[in-house]
Amino acid sequence: MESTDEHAMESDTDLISVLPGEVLQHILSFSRIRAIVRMRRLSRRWRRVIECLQFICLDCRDFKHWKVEKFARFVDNLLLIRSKVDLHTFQLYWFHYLPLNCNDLRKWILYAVKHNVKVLDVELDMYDKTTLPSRIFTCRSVEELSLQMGEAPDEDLEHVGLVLPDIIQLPSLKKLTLSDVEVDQLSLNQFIGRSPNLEDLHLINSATYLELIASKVLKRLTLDGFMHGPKRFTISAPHLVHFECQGCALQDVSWGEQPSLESAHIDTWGKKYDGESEFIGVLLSAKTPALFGSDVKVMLEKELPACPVFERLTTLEIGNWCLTEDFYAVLRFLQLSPRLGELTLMQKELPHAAGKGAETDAMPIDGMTFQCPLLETVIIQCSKGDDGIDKLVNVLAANGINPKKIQVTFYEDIEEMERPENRRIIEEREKELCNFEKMAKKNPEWVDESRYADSNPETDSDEYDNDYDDF
Amino acid sequence: MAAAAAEATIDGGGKMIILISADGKRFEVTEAVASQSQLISNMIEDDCTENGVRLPNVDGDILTMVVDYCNMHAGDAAADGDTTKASSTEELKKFDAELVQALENPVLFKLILAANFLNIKSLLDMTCQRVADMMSGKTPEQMRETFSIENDFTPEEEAAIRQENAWAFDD
Repeated sequence: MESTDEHAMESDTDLISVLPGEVLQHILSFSRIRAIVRMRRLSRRWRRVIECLQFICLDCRDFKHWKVEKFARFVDNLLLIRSKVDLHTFQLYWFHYLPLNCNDLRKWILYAVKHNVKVLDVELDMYDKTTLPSRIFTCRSVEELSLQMGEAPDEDLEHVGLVLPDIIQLPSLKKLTLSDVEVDQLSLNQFIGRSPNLEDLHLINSATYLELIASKVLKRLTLDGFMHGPKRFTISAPHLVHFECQGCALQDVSWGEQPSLESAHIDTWGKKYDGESEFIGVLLSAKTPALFGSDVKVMLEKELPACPVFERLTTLEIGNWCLTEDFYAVLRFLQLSPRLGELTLMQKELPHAAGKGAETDAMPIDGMTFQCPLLETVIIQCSKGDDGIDKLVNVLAANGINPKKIQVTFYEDIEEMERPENRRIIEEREKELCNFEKMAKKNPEWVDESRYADSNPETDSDEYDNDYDDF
Repeated sequence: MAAAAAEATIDGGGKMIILISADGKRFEVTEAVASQSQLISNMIEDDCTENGVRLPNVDGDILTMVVDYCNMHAGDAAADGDTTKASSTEELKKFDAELVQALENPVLFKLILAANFLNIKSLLDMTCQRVADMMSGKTPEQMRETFSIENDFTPEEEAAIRQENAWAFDD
């Protein structure tokens, strides 16, 4: 359709401004807000595009050294220049020792709700109230809601977290993440019952005495810590594919309608296991289970002997009990995992490894062998100076695992390795800040003197401070 | 990379589909590869790919890149299980990074338009991310230069918006 003569001119034709509006908005969803407001100055077309901004992500790290009031003015102005158009995403991340003014916060969230926001994501270190405007919880448009606003303020003696309103009705909700929010059985039932498409539910330090989590549509469930309780609860979610559970004992969890999980991350703190129903059943078709904790070990010792083969299992992470003392559960698991390709063994960290983890004696492993022909990688994680690790390596080698495929990594080093992940974001952010500083120098009349009042530019390298924390 | 003469079925790949670019180049791909495009996936469901899929707003050289990309990523989307055939995530990351770094302006935007039209989310995200990265840390003048954006403000308008940005956004 396009004529080829155009090729010569293309390099100096403005190809970006002619992109459809929704594509430009998509590009802006990957840009940082400080750069976005600057794009208003490009051309008339761009000014209009920014006035219709669909994705707002406000991250305090893009506002280093800004006072809270000034940041609030920025947000107010950003919302004021917007035309009367719907907003797709509103994200606010504020991790700063000075909290945002609760009225500002409520105003912005209400703005988003009134503009039919689909994704609302607020993460704060601190919020000095325990309620949010109740309209948020009857918003018809919101598909993803994430509220992680820290614990209730100290002076509030009645509450430990954010309090939900009596009426919750979110008909479009697909994904819900709540951290430090008091979620009782009644509110949970309203979330599940009135959001027919709720597939993702993540409760972090939020569950208060829940007894039953029942949903026919739920696919992913996280229970990470409990606000009150936990006492025993039942999960009845036949279509669940991913389950994460931390901060309770394994025997607190029982299953109603059992799912066939594809992946699981279970990290429990109990010492014994006398669950009434069988637990292993939900893991039978899992591909990537991660199972940690002494009570997991006890459960495995009890249920694995009569367990069928894990046909689909390819990646297994297991441990957090003293493996060097107690290797039976792992060996038995390997016997049942013919397609295993990647194995991570987590030895309990050293000061604790010595003590007895569980109230059962180690089961004998003499003469146990396994065959995992596809096993390509074995990672053993342990503390530096843990002497028993050779024993594990020897057992694996005796079963035909090439010692070259076994890597031993130390917990002390892992933190170091994980850092580069976020490097790109940090670099982009630094570029923005650096650019801003340059412009401020060029145009000193713009600079608000107060910016430098609370920080000395010589020492303001927050990012690097962490590097000195390691001893 | 333009499709070789018809080779009706390829091992294990299921049905083949022919994609035809604006300039008439033909590409033969498996259904699994093609259905990474939501547009084509819908067409497959509606059974209207019999005589080849004409893509009147995608050039042959752009479609070559799209097909390469989809071939590379077929493992991602393919049915679970067969991990042996799919490219490893490491390899994919490297392939993507090299592809996106090499893109120059006109091609980058054509690829965005193609990804948008064909509705291939991962490719659209990747290319849009690239543009966002190219914008970041630049002054308006540098952004205009990078993307040949014409400044159509009058000097008064420009001064006004510059001032407005200064007090409203500290920009």
